[in-house]
Amino acid sequence: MKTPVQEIAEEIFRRKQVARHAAARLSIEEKLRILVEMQKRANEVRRSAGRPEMFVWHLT
Amino acid sequence: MEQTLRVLNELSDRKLVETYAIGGAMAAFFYSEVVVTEDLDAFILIPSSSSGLVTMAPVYDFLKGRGATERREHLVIAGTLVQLIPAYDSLTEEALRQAIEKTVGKTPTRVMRAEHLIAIALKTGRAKDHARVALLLEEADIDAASLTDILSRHDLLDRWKRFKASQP
Repeated sequence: MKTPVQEIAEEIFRRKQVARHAAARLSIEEKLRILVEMQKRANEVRRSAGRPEMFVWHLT
Repeated sequence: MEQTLRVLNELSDRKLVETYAIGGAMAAFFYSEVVVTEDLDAFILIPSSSSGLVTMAPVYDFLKGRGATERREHLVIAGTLVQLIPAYDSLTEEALRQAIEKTVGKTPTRVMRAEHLIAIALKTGRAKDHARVALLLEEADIDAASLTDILSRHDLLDRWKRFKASQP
């Protein structure tokens, strides 16, 4: 017997899995745009942690 | 990105490489969701000279002539950080030869098959490689028979079993 909290957690994980599968099916062009945004955000974290920044792609 | 791929395509067109294919994280993007990466791994098959010597110098010279600049062990080609990796074993050579054509925008490129990406990641064996295997298994359409064949021919079945045993 699952507790209500377990059921909520399972539903959250199920939705996450659906979202990941949807993300996997985006076009490669959209994925590249997402990648560049991820690189920029990663650099925000790196800067605040004093780590060297990663190269951000320029999509041409 | 398309300009980067056009430059890589020129390597093949001009016979500076026998062929090339995208591998690593960028190749996985064609089959699964995006994870952050800094560079594009471009595997290349270099034709050997009559003396049997293999050199990447003509490739680098050509790319620099196309405006590529060096950054650490990478080249920046039209705004993308590219790591050129010569095929270094029978598995990467097979993955290169059997890569499939994809397009980015209107530009064709060659991308390693998901089954080869899994095999190479298993062989490399770092934590991030195992994460890529898990992602591809969950999100890509994997040809199980083809994967088993590749793993068997390249002596990777033991690593595969250990990987599977490590998964929840």
